Amino acid sequence: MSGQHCEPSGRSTTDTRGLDRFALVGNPNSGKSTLFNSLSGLRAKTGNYPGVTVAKYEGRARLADDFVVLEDLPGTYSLDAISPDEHVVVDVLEANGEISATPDGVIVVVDATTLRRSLTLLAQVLQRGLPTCVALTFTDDLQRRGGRIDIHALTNALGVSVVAVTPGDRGQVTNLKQTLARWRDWPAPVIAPPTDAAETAAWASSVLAAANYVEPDSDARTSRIDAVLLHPVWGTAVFFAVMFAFFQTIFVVAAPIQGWIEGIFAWLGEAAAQLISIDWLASFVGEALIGGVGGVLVFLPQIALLFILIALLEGSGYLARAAFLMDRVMAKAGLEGRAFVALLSSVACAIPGIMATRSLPSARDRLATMMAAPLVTCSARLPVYILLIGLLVGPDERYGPVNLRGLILFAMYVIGAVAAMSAAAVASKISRAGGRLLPFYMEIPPYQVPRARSVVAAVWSAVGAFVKKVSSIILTTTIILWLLLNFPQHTDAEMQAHGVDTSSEVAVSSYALDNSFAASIGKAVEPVFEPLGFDWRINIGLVSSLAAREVFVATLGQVAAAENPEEPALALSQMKVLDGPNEGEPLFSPATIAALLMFFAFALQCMSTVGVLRRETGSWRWPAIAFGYMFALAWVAAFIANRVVGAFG
Amino acid sequence: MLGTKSGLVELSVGDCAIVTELDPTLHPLVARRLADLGFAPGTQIEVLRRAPLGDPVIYRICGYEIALRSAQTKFINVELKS
Amino acid sequence: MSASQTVSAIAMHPEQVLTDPHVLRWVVPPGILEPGLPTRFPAPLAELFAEQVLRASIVEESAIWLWLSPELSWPVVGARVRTALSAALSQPEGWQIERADDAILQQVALEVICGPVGEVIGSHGGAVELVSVKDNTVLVSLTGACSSCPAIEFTLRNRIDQEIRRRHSRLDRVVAV
Repeated sequence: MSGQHCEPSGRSTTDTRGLDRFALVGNPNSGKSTLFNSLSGLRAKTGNYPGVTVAKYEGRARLADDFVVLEDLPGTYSLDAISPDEHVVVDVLEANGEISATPDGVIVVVDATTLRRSLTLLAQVLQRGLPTCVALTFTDDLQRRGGRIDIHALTNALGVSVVAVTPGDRGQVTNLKQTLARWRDWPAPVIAPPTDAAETAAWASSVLAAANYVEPDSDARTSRIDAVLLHPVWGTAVFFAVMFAFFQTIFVVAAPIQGWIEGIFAWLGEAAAQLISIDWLASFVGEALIGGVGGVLVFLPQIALLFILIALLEGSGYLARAAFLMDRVMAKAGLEGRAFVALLSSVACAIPGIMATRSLPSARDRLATMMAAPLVTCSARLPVYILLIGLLVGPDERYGPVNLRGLILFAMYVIGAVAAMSAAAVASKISRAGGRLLPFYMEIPPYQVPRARSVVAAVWSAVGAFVKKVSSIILTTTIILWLLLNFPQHTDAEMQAHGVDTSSEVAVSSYALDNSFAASIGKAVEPVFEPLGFDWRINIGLVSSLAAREVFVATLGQVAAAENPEEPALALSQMKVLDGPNEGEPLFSPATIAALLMFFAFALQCMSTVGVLRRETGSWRWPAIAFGYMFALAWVAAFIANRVVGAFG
Repeated sequence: MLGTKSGLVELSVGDCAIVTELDPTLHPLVARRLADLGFAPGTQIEVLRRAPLGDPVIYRICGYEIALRSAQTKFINVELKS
Repeated sequence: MSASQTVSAIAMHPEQVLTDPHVLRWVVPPGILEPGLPTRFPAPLAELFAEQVLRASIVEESAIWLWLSPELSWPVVGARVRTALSAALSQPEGWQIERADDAILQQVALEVICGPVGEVIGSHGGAVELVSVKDNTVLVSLTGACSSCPAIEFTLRNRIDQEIRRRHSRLDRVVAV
C-alpha cells in the first residue's frame, strides 16, 4: 500500500495562515483524536491503542463566525520527551524563532478516569505559560464506574477553564467551541504548578482533593474480559485463534465479493473488445486498463476487510493486550511489545508500521523494527499470493476442515512474521546504538465497542489510498508495460518470413510478445532469475513489481492477455516453458510458484516503503541496506523453495 | 506481611502496596517518566496480572492499568498493604 | 522510616480569591495548623515578611491566606513563596497562631457568598449580602426574589451554612435578617 492514508504531515485542506491556532495535547488514549474529529469534522484515525496519532494532524474547525486551525498532536505522558512522537509535541509548544510560532491556545485533553496522571502533563503544559484550557473527557465513564468530580471546584483549583466534553455530545462540543472562541480571555493560573516531580505530585493530590475527586473503580467489564483474554492458558489460546481467524476471514469472506468484481471486469473487457474497432486501442483498453488495472482492483475487498479487522482489533483495545502477550516473545528478539503492534500494523502496510515505530523510545528498537517491518506480509503481497496460490491449488481443496488456500496463505503470514522477528533480532544485535536505558511501559486501556465511525474512516482512507495507488503508480507502470509488450510492431511480411502463421491470432500475438521490448528486458535479467525457475515473462513481472508488488499481477494479466486475448486466465495456467530442459512443461509448476511465493515474501518491492525508510532514518543508507539484504534473502529462499518443491513434485 | 518494604517486582498478583520511592540509581529520565506515569511516593498500586511467560506485569495505579517489565519494577520500592 | 525514604512534598495548591488579586489562598491538608491569625512564622516564611514580600496572613482550617505587597505580583514571586510556605508547613511547631474565629469566619463567609453560592442565588433572581459576623454566627441579608421565596430556608441551610461549615467547622449558625 502506498502511504497516502498514513502520511498526515502534508495534510492542509486550504490555506490556514492568519487563523488562530490551537494545539490539542493529551495523554495517549485520552480521546484527543476523537475530540479533534468532532471539532473539525476531519477524519483523524483513532483507535483504542495508545499511540495511534504518530504525527500531527491539522484540521479546521468553525467557531461562532470564524475558522480556527486545530492541531492534533501525538499522545504523550510527559513533556520531558524521550521518543520522537513526544518530541513533536514539545516542538509545537516551543516557539522556534521565525520558523514557527507557538499556538495561540493549547487545549489539554484530560481523561477524567485517569485524572491524577493527566494532571502531571497539564502541570508541564501550564509551566509553558501559553493560554490553556482543559477539555475533560470520559466524565460519563467516570460516573459509570463510581467515580466523581466537581468540575467547578476543579476549575478554581487549576486556575484555568475546564469544559466537560463527550465527543459525541453536540451540546458539549458547542460549549467547548464557545470557550475556544474566547481564548483571549482565558483565565491563567497565577502561579504555574511546580516543576519538581514530587512537588507536582503533591500539587496534583491537593487539586484532586479540592475537586472532591473520587477515582473510578476498575472497569468491571474489562476485568471480566481480561480474566479470560489475558489468562496464561486461555489468553494464549485465544490470541492464536484470533490471529488464525483473522487470516481465514480475509480469504473466505472476500472470495465471493471478489468473484463479482472479476465478473464486472470480464464483462467490461468483452464490451471493450466488441465496441472498439481500432485494434491497438482495443488492445490498450482491454489489456492495459481492464486487464492490468482491473486485475489489481479485484483485490479491493480483501484489502478493505484487512483494514476493517485491524481497525476492530485496535478500536476494541485488543491490540494492546496482544502487545502485552507478545512482549516476552518480542524481548527474545531484543524488542518490546509495542514493536509487535508496529509489526502487526505492517500486515496492512509497512508504512504505518514504520511510522508507528515513532512511539518507541529507543533508537535501536526503532531501527530494528524498521528493518523488520517490510518483511511482514503486507496487503500489497496479498493479490500476488492469492493469484499464485490460486494457480497452485483449487478453490475447494481442503486439508481436514481447513480451506487449503487459506492454510497456505496463513503459512505465508507465519513465514513473514518469523522472518521479520529474526531480522529484528539480528538488527538489534548488530546495531550499536548503546545500552537500553529507556523504560518499557504500556497502558492497557479499558475495552470499548469500536466506534463505527473510526472503523469506517480507517477502511475508507485505506481503500482510497489503494485506489489512488492503482490509478497512479500501477496505472503508469501498466501503461509503460503495455508499450513495452506491444512494441516494436511487426508487419505480416516480417512475421511470415519467420514462419508465423499470420492467419492465427494466437500465433501473431505470441510472436509479437516474444519479440517485444519487454521480452528483451526479461531476457536480459534471465541469468539472475533462471536458477529460480523463472523465465523472461515472469522476470518482466518481477522487474515491474519493484515499483509496487501488485503490478506483478497486472503484468502477468497483460502477458497472458497478449498470449491469448480471448481467455487470459486460461492462458496463465496453460503457459508453457518455452525452451531449455523443461520445455513444454507448465511454466507455473509447483516449484516455480513456491519460488515466486518465497521471492515475494522476502523482497522489498515497494517504492513507497523505500521512500518512508529514507525519510524516517534520514539517509539512504538504511533503505539501501534493507533493499540489499531483502533481495539476497528473497533470492536464496526462492532458490531453495524451487529445488525442494522440484525434488518432491 | 503488613508494612513490609520491598521492590514492586517481588509482589504477587492481588497484592496492594504504596509506592515509597524510586531507586536513586534509576536514570533521572526514567525516574521522571515513571513519576509522570503516576509512580510517585504515596501512590497506591495493585498487582493485577502477569503475562503468560511471567513478564511483563499489569498494575493498576491512579485509576488506570499499565504493563511494566521487571527491568523497571525492581527499581520501584513499595510498602505492602493488606 | 528508612533514611532513604523520600520526603513527599506537602500537598498544596493556590486558589485565587475573587475579592482581592493580591491575596492567594493556599489550600493545604487539614490538621497541620490551628486556624487563626499567625503572630510568628517559621524562618523561611518569616524572611519573606521581613523582606516585605508578604504583608499579612490568616490561617483557615485547610488553607492559608497570604497577602502580597501591592507592588509585587504573584507570577514573579509565586514560586519562591510556594517553596517557603512548603518548608514552613513542615515545621508546624514554628508557627504561633492566635485564635480569631470571627476574623477567619468573616473572610470565609465573604468568599462563599461572593463565590459559587452567590452565583446560584443570583441565577435565581435573588441577592445575598454579608451583614456581620459575631461569635461564630453569620448574619446575611437575602433580598430580591429571595424575600418571597419558599426555598429560603433550604438555601440558608444547604448552601450557605454547609459551604461555610465545610471550611470553618466552628461555625455556629447562619441567620438571615
